[in-house]
Amino acid sequence: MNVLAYFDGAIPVQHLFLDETEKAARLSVKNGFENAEIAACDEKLRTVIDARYTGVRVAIKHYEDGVDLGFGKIESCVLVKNLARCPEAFVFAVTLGHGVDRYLARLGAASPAAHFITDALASAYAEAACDLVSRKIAEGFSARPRVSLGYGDMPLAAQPALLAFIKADKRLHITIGESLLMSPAKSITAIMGVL
Amino acid sequence: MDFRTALYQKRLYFDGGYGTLFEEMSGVFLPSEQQNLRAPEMVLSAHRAYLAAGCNILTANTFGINRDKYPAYREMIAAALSLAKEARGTREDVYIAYDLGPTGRMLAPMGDLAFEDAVALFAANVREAAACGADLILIETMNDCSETKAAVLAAKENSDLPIVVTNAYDEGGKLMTGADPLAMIVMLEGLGVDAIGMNCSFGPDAMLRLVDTFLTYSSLPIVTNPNAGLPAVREGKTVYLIDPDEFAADMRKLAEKGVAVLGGCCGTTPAYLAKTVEETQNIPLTVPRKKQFTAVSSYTHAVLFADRPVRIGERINPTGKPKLREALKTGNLEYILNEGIRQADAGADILDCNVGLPEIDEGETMERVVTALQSVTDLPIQIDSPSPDVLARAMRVYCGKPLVNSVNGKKESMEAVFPLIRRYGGTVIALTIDEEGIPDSAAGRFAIAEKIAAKAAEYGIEKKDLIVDPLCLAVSSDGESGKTVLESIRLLHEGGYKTSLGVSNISFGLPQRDLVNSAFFSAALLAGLDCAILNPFSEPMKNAYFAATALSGKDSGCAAYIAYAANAAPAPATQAPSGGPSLRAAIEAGLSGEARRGAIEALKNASPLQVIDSEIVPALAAVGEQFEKKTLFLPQLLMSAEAASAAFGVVREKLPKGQSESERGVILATVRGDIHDIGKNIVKVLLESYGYTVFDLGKNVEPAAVLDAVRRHHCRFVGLSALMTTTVPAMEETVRLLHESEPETRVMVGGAVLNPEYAAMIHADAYAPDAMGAVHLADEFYGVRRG
Repeated sequence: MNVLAYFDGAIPVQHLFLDETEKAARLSVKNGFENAEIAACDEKLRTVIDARYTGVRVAIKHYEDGVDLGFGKIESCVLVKNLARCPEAFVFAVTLGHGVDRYLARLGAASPAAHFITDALASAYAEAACDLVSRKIAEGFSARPRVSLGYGDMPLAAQPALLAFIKADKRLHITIGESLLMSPAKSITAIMGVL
Repeated sequence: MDFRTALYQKRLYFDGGYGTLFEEMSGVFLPSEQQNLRAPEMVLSAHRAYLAAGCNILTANTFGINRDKYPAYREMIAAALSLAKEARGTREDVYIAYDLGPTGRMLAPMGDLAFEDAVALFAANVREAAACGADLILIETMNDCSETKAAVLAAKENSDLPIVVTNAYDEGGKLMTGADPLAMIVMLEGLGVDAIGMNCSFGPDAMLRLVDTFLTYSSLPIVTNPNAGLPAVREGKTVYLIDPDEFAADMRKLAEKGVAVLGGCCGTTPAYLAKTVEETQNIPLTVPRKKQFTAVSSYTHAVLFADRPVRIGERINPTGKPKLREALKTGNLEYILNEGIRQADAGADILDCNVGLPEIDEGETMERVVTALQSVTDLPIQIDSPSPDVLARAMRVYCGKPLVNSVNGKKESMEAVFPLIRRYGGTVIALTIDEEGIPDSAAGRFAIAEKIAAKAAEYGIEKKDLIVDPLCLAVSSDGESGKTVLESIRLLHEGGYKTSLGVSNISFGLPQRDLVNSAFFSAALLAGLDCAILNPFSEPMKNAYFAATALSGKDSGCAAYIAYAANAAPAPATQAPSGGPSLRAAIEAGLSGEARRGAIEALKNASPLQVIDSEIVPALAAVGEQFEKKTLFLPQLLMSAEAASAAFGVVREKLPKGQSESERGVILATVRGDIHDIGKNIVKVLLESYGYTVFDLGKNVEPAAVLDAVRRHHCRFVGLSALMTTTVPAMEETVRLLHESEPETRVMVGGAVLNPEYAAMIHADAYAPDAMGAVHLADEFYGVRRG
């Protein structure tokens, strides 16, 4: 076993702040654009977010064409490059919880505009939560920027093994469908090298 | 002694964790179930170590096995059970549990695994388990109410083995998908399992905080299989933060509180269980008491028929509701779901769902509507149909314990409905009518209730699962009706029955029906009525509910009444004066309520077509132009589209028959495997706001279903959406099927992963870069010129 540490926890919604550029991009608006509907959607969304995370710090096995983080070899040039010179990495998952999915489903039936806005904001909150966790776990380490499976040539097919390895299935109830979509939808898995 | 007997006669001990034990023993991370064939000696030695620790239930190493993951699942199951049996040897006091873990997939509608597919996956395992000699089925670590139910049904329908269910709650006391312990107790006892409880997630200290709900409400033996706390790494080894002594001390407290079956989960080892056995073996076993309470549940919570009267929203019922009839005929789920959401917001505790129309397949529709309703509201549902087949379809997929409407005193009804209650669980409304009709007297109606209860008992259904409706008839035709019903409620209440009424029947044939309904409702509540089917939007009924509940002493400190009164605005004396923004301005500003009001105003001075041409279309054109110039953004465009749709809804009602539905249709679907439908929904609202009739097939749609819709609606323009690259092959398959089978069909595609080149590669006829692009393509297909 190459696990060096376990970590998990909850993120109080009061600690989540959206990056303005991320928010604008998700909403398809210009930076800084606000209106009453967006503010109202944001306020309601924050009441259903239940952000949590779980993960491990592992020793990396390096290969010429890939890496092994504890759940099998991942062949990926992007990952080899990203984790070069890193002896260790954080592997973790963050989710906003099933309540957000349910709330979005409800909005989908009630108001397409509120649905779109809330979905966009929720995506931005998932990124914010992931950024927060990244900063928190990297304290005291020199860490590389986080990357996720599916980016570049990093195989999305490794997602089930990653989730099982960090026990995100049990601890966060993140499940994965046939097309490798995660549920809750507003979930992110990430790998972050430690120099 | 068989396991069911043993549960009530001696303390039973499950074993502890295997995954962490195997990782420690083998030094590698590998799904535990793979060790049965790779390292059988290791599995055997772990079982033996738990037996030596004093455990008397061995959990076969089958947690993650299912036929989707492992084609050789049968061989794996046989190996796992063979190892457990070998470890048991000749000991007759040791039971072998087949371990049924989660599939790792989310069930529809929130995920992509169909309920029946989940049942089939579990069923295949259960059949093997029974054939290989398991003594019980342990359904464990489930985090989702619906998946738990699928597993229980599979176990019940494919074996006679005892069923133990332990769910994984979080520190807040809920499953990750939202259910609290009471919701699970109510559902699982309804399904007839043998023991229930908690496992995984946290240590026994946290379980001590949650176990009281189980002990207070459950009539079954309680099981607790906690973790050894949280994992950490010490000197290169994974350890758990609660040691065997601390663990056993808390397990002792659980046993003293009344927990019957003790065991462990992640991080526990034979040492933890040995200590637990030592600490608890002399604590006398508490045999659970029968709890008498009436309840139904949803996927999140239970509704108790106790002190506060329960309101059942009646609006999802096509009788006398032309819009709902139309929605059911055209499959417009959105309208129906909105009725559910609005009733929930208006304070309903339960939603009645009746979809009975002669021109539709009621069973299929009921199943679809109940499933969809459960994706947008957490209220329990009353499944309402005279057809036992329809009830059965909906009860099977319903997540929770439903309220079932109804059974009556006729032999045929009881023989059809009670087996369903037995099989799927449910609390049933019992109507006091039999082969002789409805008795005139309260005593006669009470006698039918007694007859129904006696028959129910033959099926093992308790009185607490019956809610008697003494049937109020129109007071306009029977002047004694109100008095008889009130007397019936008193009699039934004294006889220990819960009661329900369809209150508004009393006023049938009279003017100003709410006056009569609310007076009668107050009287019935004061007579002890437990629940009523009513219109939750009716102000007089709300007034009656809160006032009578307070007057009958069921509102402690009149708190609910005071809160209601503080928010209840006095009714306006006159119609609010007009003078808001014009219809056109309201649409441009994206104000749906104002647009609806604006349309009503505009129709006073113009024909419906004039309103469309002079107000709605120019407003949309202006908004669309601004969007394309990037001076207005997607959220605003959607708000305007929503406002335009609201205005269209008002105008459409005034259009002459035949002109009310556009002949320009578009079929929309998110392709198979994709459960993200936001892009498709954006396109839908925009197309509708531009006057198109959209046939929305939803998400995760099979290619054949799209073809079927093309043929059924005679619509040759189709839009397909996909978010993930992994679902584009399904999109390609759908395009191919449509082109081969209906060559005149034109298919536009869109979604995050698509671009014009990709669209051409899968032979789509057009690529829509965004929702406005989709409108332009539809305009092009139908030869529509705007502006």
